[in-house]
Amino acid sequence: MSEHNKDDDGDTDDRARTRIGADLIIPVAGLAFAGYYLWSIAGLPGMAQFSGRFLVAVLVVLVVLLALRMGTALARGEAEFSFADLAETRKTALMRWGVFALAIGFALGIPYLGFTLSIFVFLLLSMLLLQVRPISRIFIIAFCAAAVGYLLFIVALGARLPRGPVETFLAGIF
Amino acid sequence: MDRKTPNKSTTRLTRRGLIKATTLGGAGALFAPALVGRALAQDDFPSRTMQILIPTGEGGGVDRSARAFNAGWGEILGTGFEYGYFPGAAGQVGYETFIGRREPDAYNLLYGAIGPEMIMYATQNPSYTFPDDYVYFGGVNADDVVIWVAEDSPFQTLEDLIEEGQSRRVNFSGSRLPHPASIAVFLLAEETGADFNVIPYGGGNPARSAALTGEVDACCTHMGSSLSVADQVRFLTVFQDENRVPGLTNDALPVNEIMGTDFPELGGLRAFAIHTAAIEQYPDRVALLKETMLENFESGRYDADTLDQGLTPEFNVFVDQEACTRSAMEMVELANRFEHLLRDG
Amino acid sequence: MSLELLIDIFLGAASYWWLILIATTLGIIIGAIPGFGAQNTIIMLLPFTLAVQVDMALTFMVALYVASHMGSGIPAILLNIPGTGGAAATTIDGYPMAKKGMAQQALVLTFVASTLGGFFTAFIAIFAIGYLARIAFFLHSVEMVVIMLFGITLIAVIAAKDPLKGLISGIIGLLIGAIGADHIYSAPRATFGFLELYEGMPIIPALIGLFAISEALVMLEKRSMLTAEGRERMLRAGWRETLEGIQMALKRWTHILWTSLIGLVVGAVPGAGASIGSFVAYQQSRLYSKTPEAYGTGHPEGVLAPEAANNGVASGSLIPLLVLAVPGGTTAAVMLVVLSYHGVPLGPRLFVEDPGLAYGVFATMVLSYLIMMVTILPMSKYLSRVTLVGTTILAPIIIGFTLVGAFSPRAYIFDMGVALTFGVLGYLMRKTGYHVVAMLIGIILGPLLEANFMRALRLSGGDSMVFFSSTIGNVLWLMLLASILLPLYSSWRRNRA
Repeated sequence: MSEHNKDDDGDTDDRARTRIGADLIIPVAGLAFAGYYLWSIAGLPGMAQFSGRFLVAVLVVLVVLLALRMGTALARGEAEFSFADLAETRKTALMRWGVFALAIGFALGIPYLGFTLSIFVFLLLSMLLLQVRPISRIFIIAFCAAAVGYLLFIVALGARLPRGPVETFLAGIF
Repeated sequence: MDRKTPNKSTTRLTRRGLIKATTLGGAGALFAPALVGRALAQDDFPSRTMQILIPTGEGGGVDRSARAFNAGWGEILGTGFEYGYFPGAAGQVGYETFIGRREPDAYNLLYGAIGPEMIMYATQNPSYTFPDDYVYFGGVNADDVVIWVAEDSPFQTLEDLIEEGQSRRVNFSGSRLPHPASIAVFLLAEETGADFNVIPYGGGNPARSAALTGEVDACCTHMGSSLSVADQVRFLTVFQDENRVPGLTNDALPVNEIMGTDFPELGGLRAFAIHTAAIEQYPDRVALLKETMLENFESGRYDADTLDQGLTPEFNVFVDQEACTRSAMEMVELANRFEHLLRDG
Repeated sequence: MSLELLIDIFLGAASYWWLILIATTLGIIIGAIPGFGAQNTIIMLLPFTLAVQVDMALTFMVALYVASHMGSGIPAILLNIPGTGGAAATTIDGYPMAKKGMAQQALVLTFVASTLGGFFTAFIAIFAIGYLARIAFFLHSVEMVVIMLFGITLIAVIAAKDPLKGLISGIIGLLIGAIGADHIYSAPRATFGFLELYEGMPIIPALIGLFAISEALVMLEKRSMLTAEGRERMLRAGWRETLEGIQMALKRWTHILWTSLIGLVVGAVPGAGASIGSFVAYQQSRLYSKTPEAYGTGHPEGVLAPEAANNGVASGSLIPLLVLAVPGGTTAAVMLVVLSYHGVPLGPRLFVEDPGLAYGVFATMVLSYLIMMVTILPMSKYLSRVTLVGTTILAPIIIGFTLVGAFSPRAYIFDMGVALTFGVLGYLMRKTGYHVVAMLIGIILGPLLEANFMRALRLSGGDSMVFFSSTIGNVLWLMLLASILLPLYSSWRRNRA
């Protein structure tokens, strides 16, 4: 089991790979989705159900195989049950999920603030949270990124991005 | 939801028909309220930009057709048009957005294709109701259903195809099953007992490609978008009382003329829709919209703008609210009638 | 075609060199930002393309289109974020190279493969367009099912270290790909009540979540995305690395040519596309390699194959549009709008009435590649420096701009939510040893496979023997079987020895 857990592109860390637990999240979530999928297609014409039923059956077989493999490894004492793969320090957690929360805020705010202002605010707050210093650097990066985005997407391409106060104000200039 | 069977015949006015009807006084009466609309309008409508919601993608046929009409209409109204695109779920996303999230103030309009979108309404059970929540108050562009085969196909006529269908399964490519073109094939099959099978390809382009490259026997689709492949195909029939572009479609005859049937006209009439609440609340504004629409249609400017958009002016028609509603209800009735085929094939 | 006409066509295209320069630069930039692909950009720029002369509009669109394929490989290598689905396969070996401090070499491999592959296939297209157009007459739903299965088998081999987890990722991906209206009755499946999912899971937001957002979340654990050794190497890097990359690529020129041909053939089939082309090319490249185990660890061939192929697809995908007047993909569909607006007669008539315009498309492609070779190759040295930027700056920029990219194709805030959701999913997958590329293959190829499968069945009236009813199909089945058995056989032989 130990060597199996490592992601092929090497993204996961290099700690000992004898922990089982966190890697059950994806199969369990997959099975839950599969259950919902089957429920949602009940009553549809046969052909509309075909792919779903086939894929769910294959998924169940694969997850059973994975569970057997894990069970054997646990029984043989080659693995321990733990969620440590997902463990993170308080600081990392705060940074990671803080930025994620800001990203949610960005998505919710963009219809009101417009593209340019919201990306500026998002970059500013994220880098503040991630402790990029000095603060002047944060301002310069956020400003330049927002300006480049504005020039490329709004001015050059005329993309259908949400417009806000900045776009309205600058519309007179460009 | 009202799914009563509406009147079978549609009062659809082509330009020629319109002039005739107006002279006879028939259709003139239909527009009587509209003609006094401008005088009655008490507010300075329209005082800002009109918002057009398109329930399909940007740059598509419906979008271009809207722009062709609005170029002249905007000038008459003295205002501009802004477009919002809400494609998805065969138009349902756009209609739900229009009815649920747009103010019923007569500034917000929807421009869509009645045929396919009423079939969507009948089969997908959306949260709104027609005509209680919205109505089509004016159609300006038609896109008729046609059946064609590839140039090298052994089938020379519609009768050939039907005859073949009586001895074996004949496959048609179409864009989706719940679509006026598929209903056209169902009608033919029902009438003749032929074994006709519609294969949905998920879009007009893939459907045309399948018929051109010989995967299926024939294609059931819209005429407008088929004209780009006109020199590689043989048009067998059109589901309309009159072929609007015989010269471009090897003089294909209308289906009822070939078959001696009484099939309804099938297609995707593109029309402007408005909230029913806006009609009740702002009758003057709606009257003004109708009046200026007709003015634009008759001015000749519309045809020129249509050519400018790379579209075919022969498909420009004017259809009033009453006829649009009838056409919409007829489509719902057809969709309900063939529900078993749309759901189980 | 006469030599005179050929020269005329090239001279005509060359007179727009300045426009090609602008369009390719823009194309590379938008190709590199997920969500702003060629199709989306051409739609945005419709006011321009509709206003200018037709040959100018066409030159602009074609140059932008091929350049976007080139550009989409850049973030795939530097940040593990493919600009489009067509560059997803590039991440498999490109990103590991970047982490080792070989971003510059990897970028050069991409550029040379794209240029050489695109150049070669565009040239073939000029002379063999009639034959290439015939491919669409032989590869129908049945054959496409088998071709897509080639790509799908990648799911099993991509996660070589844990095939079981790779398969689970892939099957969940396929199931996600089966969300939305079914391909026959348009009956919605597993849409969670969202109308926005009616047409299926939107691919760009899913790709952005799985790759970009999750990568940014993982990245924050370290100050730099590079390994210590990789950082050392990057700091020392100069022009020598560019030359090294060119050498690496040119040494493998035959590899570039044959994988670009796979792209050309797949591209010539309407409805296929760059994702299929590049996944199949990667799979084939790995299959016939003497060192299949090196794939996934930063192997040059793993970068060359998908990049050569997706530019081959670019050459092929305009063929159905020109010869049959039927666009083979979404970008070509927008081009059709522009060309019909300008009254260009597409299909057989085009080659009679305006052959210059038809062949001019490919001449523009050839010139675009030549120009890009000059403009982009020297940029590798500077572009690769992105890997040196600290993660605390990189991560917010990635998240901010890719979220906007998720929004852009359909202009739905909902799609930003999709990207964020897939971001968490991708994060969990990366942390627990599941392969995000395997899932993406499922999400991208699943709906295409299902559509073709269902169509073939409906064509035959439900007879499953239809899948073995064509000679070409059967040959493809045998090849597929061989491509599954061959690696098993060689590993068995290796184990015995």
